[in-house]
Amino acid sequence: MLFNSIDFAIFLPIVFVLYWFVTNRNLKLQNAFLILVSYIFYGWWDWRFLSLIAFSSVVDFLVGLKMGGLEDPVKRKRLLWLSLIVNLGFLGFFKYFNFFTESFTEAFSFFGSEINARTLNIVLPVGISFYTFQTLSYTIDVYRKNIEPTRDALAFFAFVSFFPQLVAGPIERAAHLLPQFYYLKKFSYDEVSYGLKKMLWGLFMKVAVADRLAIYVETIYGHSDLHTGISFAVATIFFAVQIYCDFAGYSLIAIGCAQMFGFDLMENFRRPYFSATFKEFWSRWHISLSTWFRDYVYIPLGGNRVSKARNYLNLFVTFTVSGLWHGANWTFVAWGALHGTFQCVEKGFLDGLRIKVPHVLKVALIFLFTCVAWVFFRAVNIGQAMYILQTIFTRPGTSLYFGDKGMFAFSILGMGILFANDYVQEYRPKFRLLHNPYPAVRFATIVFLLVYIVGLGVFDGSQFIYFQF
Amino acid sequence: MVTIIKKLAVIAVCFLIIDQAAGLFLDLCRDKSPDGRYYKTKHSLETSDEDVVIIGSSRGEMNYNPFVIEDSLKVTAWNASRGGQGLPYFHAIQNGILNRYVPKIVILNIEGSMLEHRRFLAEAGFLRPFYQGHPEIQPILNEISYFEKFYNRLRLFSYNSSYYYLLRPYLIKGLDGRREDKGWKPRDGRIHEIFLRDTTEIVKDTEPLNEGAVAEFEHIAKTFKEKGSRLFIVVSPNYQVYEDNTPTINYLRNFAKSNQIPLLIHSNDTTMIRNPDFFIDPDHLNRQGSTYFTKKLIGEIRPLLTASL
Repeated sequence: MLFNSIDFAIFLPIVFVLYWFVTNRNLKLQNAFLILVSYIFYGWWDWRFLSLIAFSSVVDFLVGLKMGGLEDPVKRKRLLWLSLIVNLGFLGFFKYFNFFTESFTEAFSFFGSEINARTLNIVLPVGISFYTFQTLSYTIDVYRKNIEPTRDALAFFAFVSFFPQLVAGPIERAAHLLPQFYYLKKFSYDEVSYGLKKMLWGLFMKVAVADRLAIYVETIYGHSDLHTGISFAVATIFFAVQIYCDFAGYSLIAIGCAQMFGFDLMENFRRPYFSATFKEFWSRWHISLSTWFRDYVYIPLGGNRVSKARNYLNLFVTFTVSGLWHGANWTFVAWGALHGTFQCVEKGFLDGLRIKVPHVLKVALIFLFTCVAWVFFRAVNIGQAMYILQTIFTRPGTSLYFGDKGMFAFSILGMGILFANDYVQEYRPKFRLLHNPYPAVRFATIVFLLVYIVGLGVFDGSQFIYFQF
Repeated sequence: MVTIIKKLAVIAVCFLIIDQAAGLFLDLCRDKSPDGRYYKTKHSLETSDEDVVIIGSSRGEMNYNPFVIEDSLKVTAWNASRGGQGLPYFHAIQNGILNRYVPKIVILNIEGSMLEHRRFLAEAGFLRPFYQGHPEIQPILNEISYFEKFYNRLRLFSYNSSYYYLLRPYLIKGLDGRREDKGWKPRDGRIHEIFLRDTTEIVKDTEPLNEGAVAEFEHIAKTFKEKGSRLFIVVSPNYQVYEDNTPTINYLRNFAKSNQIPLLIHSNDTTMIRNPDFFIDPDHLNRQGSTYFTKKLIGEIRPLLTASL
């Protein structure tokens, strides 16, 4: 079920009313209800894949319980491996089987050998990368003795399948989210009000900005042989904003939705395009994933407590793997590797420089380099990405393709509103509109956003980009 | 909980008041539109009474010169085609026209692979500003989604994203089709050199026909015939693309033969498809090409009309 669908618009109020009026006196009932509606939410897309979530939940719950009763590190490690094999096995099979098969076949044929490898017609279960990482973090944290294993099966199943963040995050840690299923929720006007406002802004980001920009981006990237460098450059900037609004919008809806049910999810985006360094960018972009990779990949590799060269390698490997997490395509690997390279260069060369660069220029440069990396993220293959970059830098041309001028104008308008909002949040927080101290301002903002969404939103039922990951 | 419900109710009421007020203003802009796509659609649905009506997508809109038809056949002509549209739009326009009168001649422009592709149903959402006032087009738009009939009660939804093209004719006239061009959108100039090539691509599609598209096409064609219009199905030319043996064209041949409807295929007309001077882009004729093509077409239509009299 998509957040921007009529199905969800019907689903949410029903669940909300039942949650607060029927299940509000009993914790077990409340958690059981959340599991039920979460499974309905996920099964709406394809009920067959519910078995994967259920199986992962059972395995990790039992592994956690068993691990909690053991002190022998060898046995604990065996249990951890069991969880890793099950979860990463599912992920590897559904997401990467065909990718690796095709890559090996191509590699062999490159060296002159022909091998006959079969690919399978595999449907990628929506959100498998997200809930796999969430449930994995539980077993790893139990293994590391960072958290106590839970004995409450209902709470654990609800933690793994909690519908607001099940399919595209934020990827929550057990230490933060799981304890929230241990106590009965009390209705709070403020929580619901904040939650609704976050959902409204998230919906604006998705349907009024991201989906609007997507039309232009698709027109240019979908016919890359027909366009000039300027058009590619504009489309790439549009894509940078599109993917931000698509994913940050989804995260905000998820966070707001969870808040309506009394849950606090972690912040996932904090105006990333105002970053003045790559390090800062990654502390603002997809925070739940970047901290996951920091804690479970970068630090176990040695983090920065190793030699400089090894530290750079650790950074590079972490970002490259994070690229692969995004999708089974070399374009994502290249995107991750580019960000790894940016980080290494920044850490190795730029941090020590004593040249004073204006903040605004730093922000612009980071945005520019981020856009270069986005070309790989958006292109269908490495060849197209290279062609687009080459065209931008060597054959910019003189004509900009506008496509439908109305759509183009509304894209600019949407980005303008987004930029104004993010600027105010970043630098002038007291002028925030949705959370303004004056009720009339808050009220007018809400009505304006509703009018804008209905009048200028895109209602083609498009999926959130990150669902495919 | 009560506070939340009360506040949500106040917001909803305010939103609905703004929505209806904006709707009144937008309806006025639509109805008084001096030219452009909303003037054209309103005329097609509400006031057209021409003897000849051309229905198609952007190829229909650019490739058929109504003045040539008027001069040659001594009739009145209106080009009701609309760029970016497909069979659902044709169907809606047909309903709007037949609801009021029966044109003597209908020229239906079908593309060489049109019946193999999706129906372009979502694109017919362009007609939403006319949804409330035109019950005859509602069943077609209702196919877009089950909730369409509810969504369209919101006037802002009906006019979603239309504002640029709705308001622009009031500021700049003639950019989106001039009123005096009778629905035709002539384009001056020649195809860009990046599209120029010496070889002709011979299209050999193997795509299966789309059942929904075929059913809708048959309905449109048979309804015009039943109502008494002389229907001509035309496949117009594309630059350096030779289409004569696609599943769509082969199906059209059988359909036209069994239903005794003239089918005029010009996507195999090498004198046209190989001449870059006739095209503004690979898919559309320029003013010169359109005039030449329409004259040629009328040369084929005239004897068929005479024979039937």
